[in-house]
Parts: sequence; C-alpha cells; structure tokens
Amino acid sequence: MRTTSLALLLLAALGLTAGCGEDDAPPRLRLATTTSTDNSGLLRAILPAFEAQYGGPVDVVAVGTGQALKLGERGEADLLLVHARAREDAFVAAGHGIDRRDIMWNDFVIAGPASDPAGIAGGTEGAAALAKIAAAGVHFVSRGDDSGTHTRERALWERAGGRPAWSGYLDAGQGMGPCLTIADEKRAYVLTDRGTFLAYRGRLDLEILVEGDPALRNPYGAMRVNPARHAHVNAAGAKALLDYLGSEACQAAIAAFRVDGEALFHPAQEP
Amino acid sequence: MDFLAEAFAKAFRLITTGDAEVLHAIGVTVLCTTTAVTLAALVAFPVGAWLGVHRRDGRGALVFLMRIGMFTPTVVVGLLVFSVLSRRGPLGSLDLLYTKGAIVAGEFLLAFPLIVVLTHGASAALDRRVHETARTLGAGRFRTLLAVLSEVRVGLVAAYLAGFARCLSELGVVMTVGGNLQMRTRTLASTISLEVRRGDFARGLACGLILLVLALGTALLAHHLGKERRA
Repeated sequence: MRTTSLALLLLAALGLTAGCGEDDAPPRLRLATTTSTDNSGLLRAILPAFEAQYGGPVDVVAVGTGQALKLGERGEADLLLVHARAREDAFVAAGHGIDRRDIMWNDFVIAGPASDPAGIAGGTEGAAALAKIAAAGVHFVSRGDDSGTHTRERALWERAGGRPAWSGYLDAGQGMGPCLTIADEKRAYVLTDRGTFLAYRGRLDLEILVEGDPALRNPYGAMRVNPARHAHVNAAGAKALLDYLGSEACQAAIAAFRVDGEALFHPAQEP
Repeated sequence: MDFLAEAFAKAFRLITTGDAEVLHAIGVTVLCTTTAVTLAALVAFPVGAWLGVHRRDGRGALVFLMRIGMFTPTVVVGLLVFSVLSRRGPLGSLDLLYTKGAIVAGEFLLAFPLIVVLTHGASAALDRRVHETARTLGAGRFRTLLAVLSEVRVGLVAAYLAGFARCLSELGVVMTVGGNLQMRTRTLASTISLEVRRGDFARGLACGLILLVLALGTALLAHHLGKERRA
C-alpha cells in the first residue's frame, strides 16, 4: 500500500516537472557571437524583446570570430553572429551553416599616437596607411588571433601589396581591449573596431587617424548552424532569433543604439 | 576521442618538425620561470628560515602577510607590475613593459610568498636544538641559518617546485605585462589561451601536453634531487 502511494507520488512529481518543461521553458538557445556585440552593450539593447517573445533567455557565448565559427562547426551553438565575410561564406559552403543573412555593419578605424610619426592622419585609405606605417618602421599592434579584426588587417595588407617584415610589428594574440592598451603603452598604431575604441577612449592617449574607407566597413552576418549536421541544435529557436534579427523592429533598435551618444552599428536594411 | 588523438599527433608533429613558434614559446616559458623562481628562492629561503627559527611577535605578522600573498590572483600581480612599469608608472622610463624582464618580475612576486611560507613551515617544524646547537658551537647568524637550511633541504626542493608550478602555467602575468607578443614574450600557457580563441583546439591541447611534459621533467628532477640529498 505504502509503496503504491509512493510510486504514485513519484509519478505525479515526474508529470509535474515534465509539464513544466513543456509549458514554460523553451529549449535552450545558444548564440555564439563576437565580443564586440556583447561588450558594446548592443545585445542587451536588442535581445530582451526577443527573449520576451521566445519565453526564455538566449545564452550568449561572446568569443572571437574564429572560435565562434569553430563552436558552430562542432554544433556547440545554434546561431552565429560574426563578422568575417569570406570565412562565413566558406562556413556555409562547407555545409556547417545555413540561411546566412546580413544583419548590420560597423566600421574599423586606424588609431595611433597624436604625434603620428608615420604621417597617416587624415588619410582615407586603410591599406595606404598601413603601408606608410611599415615604411616608417614604427610600432604596429596586431590582434594576431584570427578574429574578424585580424582577418580584416590581413586583407588590408594584401591590398597594400603584402606585409613587409619589420621589427615594429607586434603580434599580440589578444583581444581588442588588451591590444589597445599595448598600443597605448608602446605609442603604436592599431587597427580597431570603432566600438571598442570608444569604450576605451577615456583611458588611452590614442586618436582616430584614418577612417571612412569603404574597405574598413565591417559587415556582421548571422547564420544558423546546420541541423542536418547536428541533430541536437535548437533549429526552431535559431530560426526565430534569425528572423527577429532581420525584422524591422530589431533593425530599428540597432539603428537607435548609442554609446556615449555615438551610433556604433548600422542596420543592414537602411530605412 | 579522435579529438585527443589528433592533439597527441599534433603535439608530436610540433616537436619533431621544430615549429619555430612553439619552440620559442617553450624557450620563453623555461627561461622566465627558471630565472624568476630561482631569484625568488635565493631571497625566500633565508627569509623563510629566519622567520621559522625565530618566533617573535612581529614576525608572525610577516608570515601572515606572506600567507595572504600566496593567494593573490595572478592577474592582480600582473596589474600591480603593469602599473609600476607602465609609461605613466614610476618605472616607466625603463621601458621594461612587454619584455621577458617584466614577466620575470611578475613571476618573482608570484613565487616569493609561496616559497617563504613553505620554507617557514619546514624550518618551524625543525627541532629547535639544531639552531641552538649551531649557536652554542659558535656559529654566527648566517652560519646558523645555513645549518637550518641544510637540515630542511627536502622542504626547500618542495618549496622551489611549488613556486615553479605556480609560474610555469600562469597566465595573468604573461598576458598583462608580457603582452603575449609573438616570438618575444609568448609562453606555452599564453599560446594555449590564444589557440583556444583562434578555435584551433587541437593545437592548444598539443601545447598543453608539451607543458605537462615540462612539468613532469621538473617533478622528476626534484624527486631525484630530493633522493640524492637524503642519501
């Protein structure tokens, strides 16, 4: 008698918890993205509206683009929001991702000491500025970490006809923030995204010297991890989030987002 | 599983093909750790023994301070050294930031309190008659300290090893004041952290394996030293 009632109780408890799982919490949804979207505060500005509609939190894994793509390749994330167009295309071509879509863009700038020993200030071409820095033999700090920023730096060097080897080239293999600190200490030049630079501006003796080159534009793309490759990914949740990122409401929220009164990201669909 | 196998294969390839970056990282790791810990030990051994043998009130506070120092997060030590060596810091003119010297300074500070505390423990546990006898036989302060240190040498090996272990794989100092600069201040530990961010997990794991081999070598050497001295 007692065992029967205990068993019934257990069953009831099981039913309750199972019910909870079905009704309240949707399956976990993991977004692998770059540190720039998270550190700048953009995600905190645009994700809550989606989370309310989805009924649960989005787990954000903020890492470098290289690591984010790797996480996607291994099926450790459901949706990716990264910025390295060529590598995104390769990722999709290899069958790791589907539904790639442009979401927004921000831009890179070349920052350096106000004394500007390489004389690049006011220039509008990123590649030409890098060539001048190398020719002057002054310090330049590179991310060196296969991040989206590093990928862009390599593309600029290619445009400039290849990167000469010189002793002032410092491959730091660190995030954008630490690289800005190193550049500040060494009075070096550095290629940085505008958002991180603005966030660090108060602490640095660096100035934006080159900006506005279309080759310095930095598009962010989102794509779902291919559920045909990884059966366990949250395909429905990823689709919902991807649709939300491209929606008018979210695009407007991206356009309205400000840091210190400055717009950091520009929606892919200009109104 | 294939992931681990790939890492082992990669570690083997990195060593046998003489990957310049990895070999350099091994060199920086061994050079900085050995220099920092050896310098720290040279100062910390006598200090620890002195604190262990003479137990007066004021010295208890010093031991306490060292015990706290032992727990300082490596990043905090890194930040302290950074603020001193920074362009805007008191020693900024030395231009030591982002050099191996800066790493050695930081790791010295990491190892020092640890070695002092362990040496103090070993000497405090020593029979008081050792240094009393030394004093009666006419040994000066310095000779007495040497006598104590020679009695607790197995403890000294352990203390050195503990300092070495803390520095060999530490990341806070090498990232903050070393800067993780390629072919300059990049160590095995900071290479691992970089490879993980790059998404090359196998290469990261491979460097981890090399680090473990270094640790194994150090442990074996210490074991050997401990045995020989006991005989």
